[in-house]
Amino acid sequence: MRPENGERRGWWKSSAAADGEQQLDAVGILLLLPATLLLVVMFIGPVGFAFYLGVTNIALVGPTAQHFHFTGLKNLHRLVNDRLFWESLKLTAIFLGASAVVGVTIIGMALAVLMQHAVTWLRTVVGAIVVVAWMLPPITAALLWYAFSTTGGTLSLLSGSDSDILNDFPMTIVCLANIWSTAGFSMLVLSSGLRTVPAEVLEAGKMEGASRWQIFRSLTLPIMRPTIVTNVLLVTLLSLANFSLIYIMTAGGPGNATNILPIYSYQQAFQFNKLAYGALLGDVVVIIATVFAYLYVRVSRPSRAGYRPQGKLA
Amino acid sequence: MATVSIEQVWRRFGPHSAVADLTLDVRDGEFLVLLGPSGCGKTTSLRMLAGLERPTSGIIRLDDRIVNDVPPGERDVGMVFQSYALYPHMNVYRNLAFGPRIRRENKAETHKALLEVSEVLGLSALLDRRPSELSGGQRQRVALGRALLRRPKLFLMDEPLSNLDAALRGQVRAELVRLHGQYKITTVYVTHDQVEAMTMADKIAVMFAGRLQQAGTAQEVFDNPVNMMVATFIGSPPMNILPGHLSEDESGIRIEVLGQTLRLPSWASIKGTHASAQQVSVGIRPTDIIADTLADCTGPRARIDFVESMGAETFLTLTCASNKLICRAPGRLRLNVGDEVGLVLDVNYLYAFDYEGGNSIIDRSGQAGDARPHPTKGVVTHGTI
Repeated sequence: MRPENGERRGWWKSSAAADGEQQLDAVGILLLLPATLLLVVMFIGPVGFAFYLGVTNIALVGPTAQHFHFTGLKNLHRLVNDRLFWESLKLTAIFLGASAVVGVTIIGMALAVLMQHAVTWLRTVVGAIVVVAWMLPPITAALLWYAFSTTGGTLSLLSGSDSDILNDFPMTIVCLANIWSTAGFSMLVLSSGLRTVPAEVLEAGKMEGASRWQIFRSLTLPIMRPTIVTNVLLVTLLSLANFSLIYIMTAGGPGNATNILPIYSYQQAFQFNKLAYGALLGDVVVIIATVFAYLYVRVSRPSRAGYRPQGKLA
Repeated sequence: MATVSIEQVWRRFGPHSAVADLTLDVRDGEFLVLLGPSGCGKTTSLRMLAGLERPTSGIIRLDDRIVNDVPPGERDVGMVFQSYALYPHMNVYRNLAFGPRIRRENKAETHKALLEVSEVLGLSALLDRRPSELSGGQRQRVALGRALLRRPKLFLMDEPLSNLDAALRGQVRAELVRLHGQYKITTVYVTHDQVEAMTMADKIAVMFAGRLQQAGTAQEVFDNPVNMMVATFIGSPPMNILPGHLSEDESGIRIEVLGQTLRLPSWASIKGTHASAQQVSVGIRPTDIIADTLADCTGPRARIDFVESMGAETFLTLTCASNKLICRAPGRLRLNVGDEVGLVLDVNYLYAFDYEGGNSIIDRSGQAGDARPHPTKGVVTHGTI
């Protein structure tokens, strides 16, 4: 992933090509063709079409289902003035922030550190449980958490009342469910990151008199920074796409308490039959995802100043 | 400045003993080299001194204070790691200042001391560079500087030169000796390279298989090895080991080797418990054999199998009475593979080891210092090549 010389070289560039200068020849274009075609047919085409649908008056049923036409900025105008959309955007931010950025990363990190230091049997047991939770299909995870937190579920039995905790704290429970099911992935990514931190560097810190926390904060975390950022972005993308978990647990409710954008988009398109407006909301999700994806590609690219193994004479 | 005393220290990993019954003292200001092949326990010993590893049993004292349970940060010990272990995300300045910052030392003083140390080590121009932008030699000096800024009582170095190329190694070796002379910090230095050990050490401690074999000055270890392992590990090319027989009568010790009987000088005696007549392994260094082309040589004759010309000297691989041995001859010598030569062994530097255990049999304590312009020859005396 990180070449020793720190320079980026796409495979299509000859090694003699100057850095930053891209050379495409006939063979290169020919080799790129299948992938490009696939990308256009399967991805760019549909997404482009969805963007087009977003500015039409297509509906799921009725006359405009077949004979829709371009309506200009009408849908956009509605979007900007839609209180529910802004509310949904805010809920999406809360969901991503609380579950992906804070929850999954911190818990994933804690698990990764635990995995590094724990005795073998504990490591095996916890590792297996966490990874299984990640491997479970979203519908299983969702039902599990629904049963756990709704009236008569484990949580209400434990609290000794018959309250519906899922109904009382919907966003919290949904975030917890997402953390529960994604932490395994985060743990795997961060564990491999932890292994790249050279033991001697940490020992050098110990020799200087740094406490465990100081070593973790001043040495381990900064050295792991690229892995952590990569992980945050990946988990954010995964959570953004995790439609089924929330839909099965709450379907966006109660009220609109967990109505994040993917769900709101689905609602508009397939429950209120407003396919065009649903598509436009979906487009917003695509744009958000694209921003994160772009950041991810930027960050995971090797940089000149990045960490390179020491030791050998440069 | 500190003295170190290690008493009967063991370090076990499961059933395996990495360090077995190590007892060793380091005097104040001394430069001790722990020498041995990979896996002999020298790095584990060093890590126990650093506090990165706990002894399974035994006592480690630093300045008469038992430090077995003292964490590494509180031992006033500076360490240079084999990989240098610089903090990759910090520039040189922050690498050097990390320790003082952690220990909450006065910032202005740290800055001053830091500039001083970087001046001494020639790092002044590199302070804002990242480790990845430094050469091996520069990284190594940063690691040294970081350990120096600790103002340690004890300096520990784990094969600090092994990642440098040959030319740089010689240079840094001299640098380290100079720094040691300047700061007089007690130093324990781990290496598997005997040249580093011989050139830098006040005292060499040779380890094999977790056990300390011998500790002494470079010359002592070279001239009077306690057993065959030490004898063959130190010196390059290694000491020749040949089957032989040792006997003693009223006129002194006689050794039969390569079909010839040699009489050892009068200072030699047999160490306490050893039998006065027995089969032994006879050791002689390649430098203590003279290969002689003269026809009147009465010594054993050998055939040349291989000639390694090093310019100033030539190493000959020989077969003599079905034994293989190596001997040093002057350079610019016209010798060819297949030629016959006569051998003259220097009886002053003839060693005999217990055939079974490999312990040295001959007591050499009576041997006077050697001012040899020419080696004393065994049986015959005549001109060399």
